[in-house]
Amino acid sequence: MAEISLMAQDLRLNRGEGEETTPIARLVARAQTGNREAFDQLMICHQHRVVALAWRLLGNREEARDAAQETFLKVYRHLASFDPERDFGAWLYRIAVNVCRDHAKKRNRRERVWDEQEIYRQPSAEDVEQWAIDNQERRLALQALAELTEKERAAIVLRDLEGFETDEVARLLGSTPTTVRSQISKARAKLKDLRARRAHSLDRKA
Amino acid sequence: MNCIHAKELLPLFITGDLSAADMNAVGEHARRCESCRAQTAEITAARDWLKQAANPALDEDFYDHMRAGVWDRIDAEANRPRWWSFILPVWTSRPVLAMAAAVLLAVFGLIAISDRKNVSTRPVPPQDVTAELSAPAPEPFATADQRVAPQYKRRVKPEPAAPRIVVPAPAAPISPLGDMAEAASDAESIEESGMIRIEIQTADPNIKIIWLAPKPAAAKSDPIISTTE
Repeated sequence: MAEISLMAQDLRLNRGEGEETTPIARLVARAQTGNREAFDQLMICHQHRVVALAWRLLGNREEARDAAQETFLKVYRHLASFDPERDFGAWLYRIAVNVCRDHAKKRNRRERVWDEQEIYRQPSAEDVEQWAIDNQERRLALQALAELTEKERAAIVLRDLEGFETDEVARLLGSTPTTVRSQISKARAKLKDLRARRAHSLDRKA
Repeated sequence: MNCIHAKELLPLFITGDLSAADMNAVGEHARRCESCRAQTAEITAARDWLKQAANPALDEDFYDHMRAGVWDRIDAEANRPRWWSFILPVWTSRPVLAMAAAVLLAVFGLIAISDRKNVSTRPVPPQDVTAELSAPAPEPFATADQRVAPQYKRRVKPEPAAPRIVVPAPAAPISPLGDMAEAASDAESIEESGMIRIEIQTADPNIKIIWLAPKPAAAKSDPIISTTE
């Protein structure tokens, strides 16, 4: 498990030279030979970030799960042709972003709204109050993301929540750094206004 | 730099996504402007809040189920025939389905048309000799001299109510005299009974049509008709 926890941190897009023999790279090499256990370990290492990305971009668990499954399925299908010299995390993330964007387009056609009433992880008896606060904050965060346009949401999720640099976000979204900066700027300004409105409404209720 | 311009750049200023010149200018302005400082703090707080709140917090069962679904789909694809896995994604599209149906119809149509063409281009006799023999007068073949040389296949089309024999002109020449003589000898006994015997050889050498009819007055002189290939 120590190896896995190390691998989970090895997901940055830009890795320096000499880092090719990371645990992830070794797992990729084994999975390319058809080793199912190695591929399962790869999924375990990346599942939290892939699901979180999908959940933030799509706004509900069911679509996030579908998108994550489809992402890993595509990775499995094309793993044999993957160049081990390349960054596996970057490749995986690019696939995940594309899958989520496809899902978002389909959802727009179906006019499905973001599900803000989902209940996540049942609380234990000790932390019911904290669980309720976290759940409320989570819903508000989803509401705030839902207020953004699809492109603004993708840019802000990848830049602020996933921690990619602006140039990396541009590459992932197939856009330019200037466009991404503009989208991030608008998204941050909107989120600031949304939060200010919420604080104002809470003050009025109080 | 004035406040309006600085506030436009503040969302990018908080993470250093500006050029060095803009970063210096905005920073210098924010140090002197309380409103811009407050706005910078609001943007940063909103960003931090989103980072903290926008986490799915799903339990491990969710991830186990997700991975199990991936393996189910991988195994299903592995068990699927290769050609089927290639075609399946395509066939889910309705336009492709419609196009395939149209191609099938076109293929069947072409087959049907070519089949009809083959039938019509078969060597068909340029003219059919149709003889309607209605008892008691077989006048068209009353005498051997009046026999028309058959050149094409003959068709026999019997009709129960009014017997009708269709004799297409066969391609072969007139039958040899030996056959005629044999037919004549067989007919002698029939002639004695007051009947006329008409023999018609069809295109198929194994099929010979024999017709017995009351002897008409005009046909008494030559009651035997035999047309063979």
